Amino acid sequence: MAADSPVDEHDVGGAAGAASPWRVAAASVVGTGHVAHGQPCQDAHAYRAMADGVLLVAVADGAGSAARAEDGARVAVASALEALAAVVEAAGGSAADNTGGVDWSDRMTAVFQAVRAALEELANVEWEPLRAFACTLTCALATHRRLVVGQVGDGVAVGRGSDGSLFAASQPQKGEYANEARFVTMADALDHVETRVFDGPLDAVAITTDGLLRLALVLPTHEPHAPFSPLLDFVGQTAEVEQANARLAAFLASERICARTDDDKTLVIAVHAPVDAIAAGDPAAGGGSSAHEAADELAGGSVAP
Amino acid sequence: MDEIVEYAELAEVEFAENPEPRCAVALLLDTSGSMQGRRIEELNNGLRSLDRALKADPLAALRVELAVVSFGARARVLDVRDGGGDEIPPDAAQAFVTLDAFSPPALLANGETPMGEAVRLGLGLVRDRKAMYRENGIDYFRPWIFLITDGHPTDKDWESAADEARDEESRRGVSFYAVGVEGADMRKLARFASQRQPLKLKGLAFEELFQWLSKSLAAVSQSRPGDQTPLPPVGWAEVEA
Repeated sequence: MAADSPVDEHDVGGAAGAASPWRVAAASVVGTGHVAHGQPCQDAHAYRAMADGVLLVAVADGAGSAARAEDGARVAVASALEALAAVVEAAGGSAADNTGGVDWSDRMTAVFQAVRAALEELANVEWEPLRAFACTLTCALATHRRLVVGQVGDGVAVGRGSDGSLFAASQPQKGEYANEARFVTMADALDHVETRVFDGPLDAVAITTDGLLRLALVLPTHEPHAPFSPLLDFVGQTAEVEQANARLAAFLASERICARTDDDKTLVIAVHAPVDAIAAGDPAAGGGSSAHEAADELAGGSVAP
Repeated sequence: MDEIVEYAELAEVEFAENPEPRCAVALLLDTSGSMQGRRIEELNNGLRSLDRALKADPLAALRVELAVVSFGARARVLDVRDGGGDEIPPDAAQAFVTLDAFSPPALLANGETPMGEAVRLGLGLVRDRKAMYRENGIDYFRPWIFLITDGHPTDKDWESAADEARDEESRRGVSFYAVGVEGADMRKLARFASQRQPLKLKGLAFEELFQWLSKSLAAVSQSRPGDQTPLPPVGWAEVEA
């Protein structure tokens, strides 16, 4: 099964480009359940490397029940990156290192406000109700020294410190029941923007949609799943972005993952590579095999406790 | 005691093998003396058609979990696993099974109508089952309690059980549905339900009732966040005059 039409927006704007210390691999892959019902992939992701080692990531999961969910998700991640970039620029380029007096919760709420405004505009232009574009949104602003995560809905963010320890950087927002969820299009969404700030040193961050919840976190404790780490290593070791993305997409489309979830799944992994490691890395050989090991371990590991 | 431990472990294996989100349904079925004859026959037929209809839906078969509490003379939890049918302890790990392992018990009618006791058993089972889902990291839908009776509660503290049911439903802990067969005291039945009026079965339309139940459960157990899940039209109920 191929990774059908992933909604894959690698934002190339911003100042950093090749100079960024972040290696990013990302893929959104349509779920088997969506294929069966003739639905497109309703996940979307975007990221942008900025100056001063700042990385912005946004991941959205369009509600299966919403008529235009894929458009909502796409606009949500694009507008989230714009708003996050504006926050960074307003803070003088090193926003995530600025320890003094930044109310991150306030800034994140402003980001989600901007996302809602963009979705409302879309709804107006398209003559659709806002809920037709219902989606969740998880976004992050990361530097080596700091990670700020904001979310509405049941996305998952996992971070890894330079000491190799994994930590849950967000907890999925869920109601008690499986058919309850929180979307950015809901009337009270802005009251439920959850912002978490972690001080570095930060080695990696991964953001996924709920389709991969059980792979990223051990339920019911919501601790990060240890086999997640090799997958981060794989990205750190693979210098060729296209190759990393393709392998990640293949992994997400693999039978072993599809046996666990019929939902769309998105995974964005960003690894902060120390300068000397970039020079010494052997991306082609090492990256390939550990990708397989990581994939095997992830898909084969005991997911349910 | 060992048996219970064994069953609890069995349940954990079930969750590991089938991590699908669950919709727990406790059927509270009147098996008092007045149900004798055609009524209990049609009720048994209805249960079998519910079984067939849900088994035919592969996803519903993995997601809908049924437990049966009968109330005739005494309220009892019945073993609904293949080869079961006997009374079992009121333990949620044993009482609920997904459709793939379900076998409808053959109900016999006799005795009084301890409806309050049955409701209390049903509420406890559902509450315990939800706790098991949470412990095992299993997502779940709001459970249903579905009560069918042709009489009126004969246990003396049924009213406190009715209050418990109303409270649980107002806390959004459960969806409570009550159906009265000809002769049921609809006014007393209404005391149990806080969200919707009990409905009166048209004649012996048990078959239609259980077909409706299977369609409703299939829809609910496959509903997604943001879905409004309208239940199918009720063709089996008498229209209020």
